[in-house]
Amino acid sequence: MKNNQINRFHSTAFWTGADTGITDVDARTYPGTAPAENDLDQKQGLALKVKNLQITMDGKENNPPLVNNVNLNLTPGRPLSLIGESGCGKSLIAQAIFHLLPAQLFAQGEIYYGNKNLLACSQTTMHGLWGREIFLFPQEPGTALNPLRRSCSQVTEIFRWVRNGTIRIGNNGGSFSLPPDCGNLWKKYFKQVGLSISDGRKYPWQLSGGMNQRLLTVMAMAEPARLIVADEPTKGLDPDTRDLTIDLLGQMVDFGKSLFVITHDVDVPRQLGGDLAVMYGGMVMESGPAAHILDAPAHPYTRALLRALPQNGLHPIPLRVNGNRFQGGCPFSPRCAEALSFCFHVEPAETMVSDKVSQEVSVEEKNEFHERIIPLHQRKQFPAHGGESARIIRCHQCC
Amino acid sequence: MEEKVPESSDATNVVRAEAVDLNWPGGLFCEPVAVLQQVNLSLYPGEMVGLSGPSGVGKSTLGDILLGLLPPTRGRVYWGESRIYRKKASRQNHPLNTLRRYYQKIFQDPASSFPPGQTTGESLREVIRYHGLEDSIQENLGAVALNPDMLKRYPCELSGGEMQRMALARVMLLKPRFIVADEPTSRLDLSVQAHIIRLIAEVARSSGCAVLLISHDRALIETVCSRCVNLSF
Repeated sequence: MKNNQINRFHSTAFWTGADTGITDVDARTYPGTAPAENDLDQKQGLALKVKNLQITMDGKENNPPLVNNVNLNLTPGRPLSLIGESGCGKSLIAQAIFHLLPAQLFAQGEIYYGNKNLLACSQTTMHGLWGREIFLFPQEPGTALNPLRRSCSQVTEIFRWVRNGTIRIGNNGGSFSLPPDCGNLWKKYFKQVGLSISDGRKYPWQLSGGMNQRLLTVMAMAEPARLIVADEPTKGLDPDTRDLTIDLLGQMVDFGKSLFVITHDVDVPRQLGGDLAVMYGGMVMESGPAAHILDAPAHPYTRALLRALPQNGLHPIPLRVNGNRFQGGCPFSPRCAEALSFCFHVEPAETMVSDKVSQEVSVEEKNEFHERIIPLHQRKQFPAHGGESARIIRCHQCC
Repeated sequence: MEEKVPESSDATNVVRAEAVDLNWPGGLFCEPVAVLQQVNLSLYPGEMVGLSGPSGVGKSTLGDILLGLLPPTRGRVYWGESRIYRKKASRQNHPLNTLRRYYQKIFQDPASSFPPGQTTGESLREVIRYHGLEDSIQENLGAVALNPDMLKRYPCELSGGEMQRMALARVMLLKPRFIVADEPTSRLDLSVQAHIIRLIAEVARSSGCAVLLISHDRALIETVCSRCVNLSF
């Protein structure tokens, strides 16, 4: 009898959850603590609103802000993508949402998740939200995964965490026991991302970078979290796997989860749709529906970024001249081929909305937009600097 | 016994792989895997060849085999007319020793390609000292549009694009004949990617070295490469 149990414990059928003999035991061990499989999918997302977010070094006002008055609006069922170059502060925003900023950085402003201001939450409250409500899809899968644990074990750990200890990790030769629903869940998710069951036996260092990335996707999907913040989810993936990952992210949105994607890859917002914010030098340069911005970018930085794509001729943006920070004016002005004189003196409007977008917004939003944008007559005081191609964002009500 | 180069092959090529196979041995939970099968590839001076394919197909592995870093299970690899991976060859005249400096690699992660405890200048000077070369650091820094002040910085004080350009400058010190650029821009953003790729193409054109550009990005390869090799499972 004992030998039979041991053999079954080490068998593939038991390991993959197909052995039904032990499931009754597990069901008795964990009565009714695990939510039904469908509950995970049916949990709806909540809105995320970032208002006047400012991140500074040491919290001193003299230090130039790393993130300067950023406003973002994420609605459930409509993904929000944030693109921009390295060092512009994209990942800092994600870290601020999760209270994971380095100790020397301080965030000011408001980040509302539903009705809750996350910046005002205590660390204990945030620990309760991590995984169960908000999930971070980290940038480096190689460093995010535990090299000493098999990939399947790490996925089930997520279940254990979010379901208060439903899964018991065994210590007998790396095997573990799974309640029937969880055993089916991880197998289902592995298949969805193109991983085989045998990949579940491997350690992260035995998987390629793309496979590790897919393993993280499984974790994001298996979570019951309503808000998913994905930091570079397609980094280093081949085109097929990248498309698959984007499809999976899109499925999460279809389930009603809120999705916030930080990426360098322009194809991600193009395929995901939803909204797009373009960031440079700690500020949002342009925001609006992704399709409109990518088809008709209004800000010179967005245009320069799109021109740097291989399919658009691989035209590089001029390199930085004086480090990262700027002294007043538009942060992109030192590198901008279309800069006017005023660009070097006047800080740009908080958010420049694409022309097409501004026609779609409500009257109230237009009024708010009108108050924020610099009046055109003020701009005309400065002579043109960057040539005739310079383009000015106009307010549709007065200009 | 040294084998002769087949007469049909072009003697001017920089590197040539003939019928290369590579198998990974099986392990406790892994079955043996045939990674590469009958791969033939030749690169000529000054040309830039793209190598693409899905994750795990063996792109980087093929690059390592061509660079003499990983012996194939079967097949032959030539640097010019010298066959590498010979079983019976004297250690002193082995092409892996005498020609090593001309066959170089640019890594995917620029941060891990420099020792963190040395300034970048020390790293570059170490290359010159080891190979007994003339000091051409300033010229090469100019070629990759880097300020000489960067030599005083540690790797952690440089951005990803600056570090990748520094890696290119370090490779150029050795006047290479063949460079494997293994996804050199996958960790860089769009604007920096355009700079780095244009720099590598310029180096290939001006110095006459062959470049094997490994990338997932087919659009990038079609834009800058004269030929494209696609690996599939």
